[in-house]
Amino acid sequence: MLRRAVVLGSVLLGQFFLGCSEPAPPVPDWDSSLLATDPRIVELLSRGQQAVEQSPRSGELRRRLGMALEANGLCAVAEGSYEAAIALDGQDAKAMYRLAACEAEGGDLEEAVRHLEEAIAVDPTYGPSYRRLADLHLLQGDLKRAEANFAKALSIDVDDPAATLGLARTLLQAGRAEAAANLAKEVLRAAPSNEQAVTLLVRAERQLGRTETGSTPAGMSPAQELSWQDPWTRELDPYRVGIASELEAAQVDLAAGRVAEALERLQILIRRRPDDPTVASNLGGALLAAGRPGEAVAVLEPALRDRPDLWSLSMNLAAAYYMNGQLEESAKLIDRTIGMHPDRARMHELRGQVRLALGEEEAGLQSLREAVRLGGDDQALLFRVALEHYQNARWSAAAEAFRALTELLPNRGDYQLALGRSLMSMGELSAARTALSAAERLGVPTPDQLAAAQRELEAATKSL
Amino acid sequence: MIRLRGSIRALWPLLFVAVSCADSGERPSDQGLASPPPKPWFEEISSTAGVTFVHDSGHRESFLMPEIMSGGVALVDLDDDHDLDLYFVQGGPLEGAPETRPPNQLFLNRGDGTFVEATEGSGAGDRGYGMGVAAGDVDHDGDLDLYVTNVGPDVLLRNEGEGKFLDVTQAAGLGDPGWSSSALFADVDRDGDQDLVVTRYLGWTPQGELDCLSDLGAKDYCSPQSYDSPTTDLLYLNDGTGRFIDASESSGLVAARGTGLGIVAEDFDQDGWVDLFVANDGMADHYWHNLGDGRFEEQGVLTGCGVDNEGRAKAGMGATVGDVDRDGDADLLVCNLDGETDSLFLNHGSYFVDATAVSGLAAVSRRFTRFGIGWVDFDLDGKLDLYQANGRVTLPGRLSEGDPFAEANLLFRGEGDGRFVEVLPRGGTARKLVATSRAVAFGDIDRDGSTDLVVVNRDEAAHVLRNVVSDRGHWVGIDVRDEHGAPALGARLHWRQGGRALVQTVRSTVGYQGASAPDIVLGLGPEPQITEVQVEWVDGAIEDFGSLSAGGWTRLRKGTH
Repeated sequence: MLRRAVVLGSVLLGQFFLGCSEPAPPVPDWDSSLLATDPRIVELLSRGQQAVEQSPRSGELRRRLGMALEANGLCAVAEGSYEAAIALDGQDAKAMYRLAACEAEGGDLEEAVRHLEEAIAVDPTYGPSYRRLADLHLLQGDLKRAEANFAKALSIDVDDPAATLGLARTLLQAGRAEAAANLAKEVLRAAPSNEQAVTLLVRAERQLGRTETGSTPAGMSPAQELSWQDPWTRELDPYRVGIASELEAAQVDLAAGRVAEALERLQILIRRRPDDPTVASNLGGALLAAGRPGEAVAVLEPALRDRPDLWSLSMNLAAAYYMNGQLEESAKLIDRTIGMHPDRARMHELRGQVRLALGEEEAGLQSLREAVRLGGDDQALLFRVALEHYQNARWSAAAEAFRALTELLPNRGDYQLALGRSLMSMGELSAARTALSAAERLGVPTPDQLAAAQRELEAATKSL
Repeated sequence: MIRLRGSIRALWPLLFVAVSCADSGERPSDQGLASPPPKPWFEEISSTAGVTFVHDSGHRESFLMPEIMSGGVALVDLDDDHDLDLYFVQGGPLEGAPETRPPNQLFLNRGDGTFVEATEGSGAGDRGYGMGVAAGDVDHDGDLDLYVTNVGPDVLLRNEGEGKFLDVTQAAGLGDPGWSSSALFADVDRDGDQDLVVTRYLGWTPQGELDCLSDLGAKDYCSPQSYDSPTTDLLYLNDGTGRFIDASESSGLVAARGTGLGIVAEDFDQDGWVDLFVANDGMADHYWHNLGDGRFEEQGVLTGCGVDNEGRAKAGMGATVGDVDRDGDADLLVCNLDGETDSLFLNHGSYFVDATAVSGLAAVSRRFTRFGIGWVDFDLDGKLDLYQANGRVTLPGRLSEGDPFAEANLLFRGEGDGRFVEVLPRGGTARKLVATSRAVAFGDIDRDGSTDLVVVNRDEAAHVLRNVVSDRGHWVGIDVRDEHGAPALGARLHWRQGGRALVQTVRSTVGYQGASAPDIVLGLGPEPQITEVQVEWVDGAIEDFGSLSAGGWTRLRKGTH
């Protein structure tokens, strides 16, 4: 609010002296404490300021400056630039949309609604505007308007799952569980593993009295509320230059399997910050993901010498040693790291892998079991253990682990198939049949294997 | 910090110019002229009340995670003189030796709502790096003992009477060395004594601290996910003598890891056994269903209160419980990080319904990071209101002056049906109090029948907020005691009011790292009395206490009717 008053005050002061004509909004100014943080952000913003100074009547340049600010975590400051952009160009729907995004992030929902409505008035064809407007109405508890705007978004893009699920959420809040369930099912038909849809469906079904269970998949989604992902929001990406934004972008790239892009970002970062252990640790991880463990070792060893207390560096180097075939070094380092922090599941998982690679079967499996114990419901760890048991024909243990996996992820047909096979090998044919039926219902990526398992089950049943 | 040069100077021409150039479309707000300013609900009285506690997070150069999470308080009667005393949990230099840290502080109520510091010689001045505190009578002597959660060994302070305490941690079999957060006493096995449940946040050591950066590249506090080190909560069973047996493993509490912060205990499904709800930061919250045979089963996702309607695990900080829709069962509220709404879970018997969107809380509270919370009927209209103590955990990406983590607190008036409306002025005080607030404890400090509160603020003085609501309803104050004369934690008070059968549980721990007065203050609105008053004791026995008239305090002791 203070910042908006500053801009508005300056505008009106100009009007007073100029006889209420229409001067350009003032160029924003920052003090040195902002410049002291991240030089890349400072440089970006300085360039933006200079461009605005050179063309003070360019609304587009104001919007771009706002985007540079917003992309680097300065949404509240960006609002002033977006307002200036709108003042200069009353048809700039993108500036209105971005202003609304920042206002929503800052909690000023009424202003955000107003600016989204203005954006829609200028450009009624952009579907995400309606969806975001509906999101805001839902936050405000205005179910009627939320429903209308989700419906409008769907009328523009009938395949927008976010709008469909938003409408389902709205209907569930309104007590219209049947309609909500139908919408969730609609999403699930196109995307059977959509966790939000499963959650909504289960909750709607329970409110309808059709199920006693509230079980959902892992139930974890890292996305924040109002995480605005749409084409206009993706235009912010080129402006994300701060170390934290870059690191986050690299991590997102890695998580999405875009290893080359992540490496490129991290190589630039390490040149800028050669002594930064966080960057080194991330770069080492990316090099491992790229299958270049030797280079990872070269990056991580000196970093760990400087900061031997950082367990993330230590763990990444242990993993690099392991992947580089330096098993003894890896084992030694991971034991040291576990000594520092015995509760971290992933370290035990790595130790399990290293010990298995060293031929220490019992110690390896013990470490994997410890990893599962510490990791709670982490299905990746559990899957590893299940697979270990399965590949080693320890059917009872494999069945137990796969059963746990199917409870965590009830939509995974492949886990049901593995469970069925394990049970079949144990001679528990009835339970195996149930699991294979579930696998068939849910679908599996390897239908041939499922068919083979079903044939084996029929044969085993007949032989009895 | 980021500043916009000349921002304050530029403010003043605004009004003058706006009036001078009225056809610009900008007009001065007439809101202030049309309606009288809203009356505050609270008055900040820490100075006049003699409460001089100043929290010290220990933050200097490095950003050590516990520094941003610390600050507990208890508002309970510690010297058995029928008024509420204060016990503040202190931080201090995290990496220093305990003797370099300032002690926790005890303030005794003089009986008139003012306090005198009584730490010295009390035995209560623990110097661990403190987080929170719980209160309960562990040894059946009728007074409240204190359990202090620390980063490092926790401490059990046995109340020796007259404001004196003895550290009996070792003898009691307690003293977990990890990072504990909130704790509560509850008789989870219904054997007639107070057991202890402790939430733990992270497996963390100063040596393993990470370097994290803000959006702008500045050093900042990390998120708990950065540490990849969730841990388990603890259950200690009281053997009846004040000694405890660690039952975390046998009870099943080790089956699910989390980043535990706030905790509440309540028999949510009304099967006679107290269940537990733990708010986890950035992970699914835990609903520990008491199976009645010494075991608990985690059913958060199963019952619909582990994640929100979209299956999203939020950053749970504090939690509170109460019959917010007045339908005779206990509902849940979990508060979360900025950018996330609170989660209001209405109890539907065997499961919870996420009713956040229609609660009126979502739009306002999500711009703040909420910690200490509590549902309390401040205006005594018979409907639970809501107080939220706020403060960021990471540096903001916006302009700020002073403490960059500071935020205003929030106050909402309850509508009695699960809906809330924000009370203005913001936070309920005439002068907006902006600080990095953590724990809140609730209780009637001046025994005038209205609930006051105390807020701990990181690296600042605590706030003592006296209830000054002008149009309060009638009230009944009830002090429910067990056969030993101690507050009967877990007992359920039933009564009829305005045609409704209502229920409230005697509890001390709500919110985040705080211990509130276990007394119950019931708002009656215009009604002169409540009827059919019954206490359902923890062992299942039910005792009738008839009707109670408005305007005074009553003690209901087990076995007296």
